[in-house]
Amino acid sequence: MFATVLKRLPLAVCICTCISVHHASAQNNFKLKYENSSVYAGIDIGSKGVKLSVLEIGKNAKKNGAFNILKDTAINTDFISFTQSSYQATLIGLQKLYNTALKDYGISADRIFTVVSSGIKIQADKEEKQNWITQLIAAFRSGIGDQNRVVPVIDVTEEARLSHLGIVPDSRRYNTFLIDIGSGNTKGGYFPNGNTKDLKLFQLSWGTKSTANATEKRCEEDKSLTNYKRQLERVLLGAENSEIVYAVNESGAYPMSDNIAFSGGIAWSLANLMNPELYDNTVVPVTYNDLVKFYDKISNNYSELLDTSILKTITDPALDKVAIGKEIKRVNQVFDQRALLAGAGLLLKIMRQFEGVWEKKQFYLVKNGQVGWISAYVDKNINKP
Amino acid sequence: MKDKKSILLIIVSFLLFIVSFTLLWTWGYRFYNKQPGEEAKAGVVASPAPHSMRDSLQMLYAATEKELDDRLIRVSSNTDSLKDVLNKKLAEFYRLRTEIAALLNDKAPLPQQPSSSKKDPENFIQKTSFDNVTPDKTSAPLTISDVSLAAVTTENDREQETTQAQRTEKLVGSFLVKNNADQNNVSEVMVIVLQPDGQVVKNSAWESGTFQTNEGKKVYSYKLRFDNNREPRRLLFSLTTEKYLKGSYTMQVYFNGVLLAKTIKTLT
Repeated sequence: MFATVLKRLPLAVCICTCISVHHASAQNNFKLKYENSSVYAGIDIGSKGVKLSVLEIGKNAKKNGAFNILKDTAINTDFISFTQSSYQATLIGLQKLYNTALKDYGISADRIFTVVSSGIKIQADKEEKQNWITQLIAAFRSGIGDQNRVVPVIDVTEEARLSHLGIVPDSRRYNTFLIDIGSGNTKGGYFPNGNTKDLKLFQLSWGTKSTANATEKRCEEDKSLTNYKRQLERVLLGAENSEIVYAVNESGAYPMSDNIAFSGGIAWSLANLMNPELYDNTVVPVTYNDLVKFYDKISNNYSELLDTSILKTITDPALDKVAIGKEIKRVNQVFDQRALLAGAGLLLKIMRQFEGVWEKKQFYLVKNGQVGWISAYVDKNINKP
Repeated sequence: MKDKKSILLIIVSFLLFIVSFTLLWTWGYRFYNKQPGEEAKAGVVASPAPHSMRDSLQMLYAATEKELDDRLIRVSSNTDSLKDVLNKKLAEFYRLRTEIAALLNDKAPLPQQPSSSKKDPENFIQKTSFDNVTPDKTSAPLTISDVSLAAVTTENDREQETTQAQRTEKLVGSFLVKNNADQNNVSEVMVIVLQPDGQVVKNSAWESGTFQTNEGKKVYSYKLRFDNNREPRRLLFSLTTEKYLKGSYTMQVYFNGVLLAKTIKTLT
């Protein structure tokens, strides 16, 4: 018997080694940016579907806003339509992404956080379908075999608060106004009272896609670019006069903020196109005049914003041209000229409200804003007493 | 009897005929043969007021016209006086602009000032622009000296300089800046600290950005703003990163896109 054990021992050792190597390699799949960092996963059940973001959070994340997106995966299920098929698709997608984080990426369950975002809550409240959310959460818990898994449903104020906490460093907590320009709407806020519990919320019903859609609708039969630009100006003027000016004034943000930070897809795209040299910066400073000039470029010289043209302007040999080219290509795929015009135009209209003659605010474009809440949520949960 | 009646009827009808004829003739005569004098007399007699009314209307009209003329004259004279004021202010503006341009660019050519109020100020504004004034990038109104870059570590709660990359906790840079031009304003100096591998050292993404230099766009490590008066002053900054490499760290100081100072610190 002893001989049998001895014979089988190398095999057992090999199998154990393979399992641990596989497990370790799953952990080490990621190219980490920071020293002494930790990897977390956030799963967000939103209006469009389910999104998994894997983050590396550095030890100075709260101080510097240092977190790095390692993986970003989304499954579009249109849960917000509240149909049986969308419900099933969302449940399957949610379980799949959870298992991906757990098994493929080797992230432990206590480092995986799941939330239902504010867009779902708003629609569910409108249609009185809150029980759909409750059932989804219950089914998810059963599916993964973890009845104690916490899946909070966060409202728009909490989402804005977490985003601010996750994106903006502590040193700028009380003098920064964060605005997230989404596809359908814009939201954000700041902390007026010197504490992080009271957030003054800011909301607009305009986003990049809704602006572009409104412009397309006005174009009617004439789909030329010239007409698109003309109609876009009118849409933006209408938005500014009817909503933006009032919303900014009502927020009281102007006298309370030195820094205005913009996040969202349009912020990510403009940050990459305007300052490709800062490709590894998660935040890029800009001025109002820079953006006005850049808007002209989008309008009249769009070909200069393609990856091949931008790479020709990079002369510093220390910069990683491959990484820059990859990111610019991604931007070009997500935003075409018209979408860029709509988003940048909306951004300019909001920025204009803060552009003073004497007092100058500092503007920032945040590239990774969509996962800012995860960093804050992780921090909130791991530091729970 | 009957004859009498008929004769009477004939006579009455004849008389009626004559009367109506007479009346018609009289009206027709009067209609076709009206005398002007009679008409005027009739008019005067009928409405004695119109002439005086016309006179008063005439007077009112004349008075209104005079008042309008006076107003026009007053407005014209006001415009002239406003023009004078505007021209004076414009002259003052151009003088100040020239002074500012001279302060910013010692050697730059000065734009021509307009002569006094004879020229049309609107046309002058359209023709003149700042594009004619190009900043002289070769001369800098600042002098940078005593540049140093140190690697600092903490031992026994005290900060000490070190030359070892492994022990370094932060990089501290300092330099003296002296204003050479006669001006008081807020200036910005850009500092770039390059690692041995050529990457720019940054505190955080919120504190770095890009700026234009003679050699193209560059990423800065730190931006320092200061009151630019004639007194020399020492500016300090610190940079903290995750890791410090062995090799040479290069610190460059730029002002207005021009490299003014450079130093190297080697860590082992």
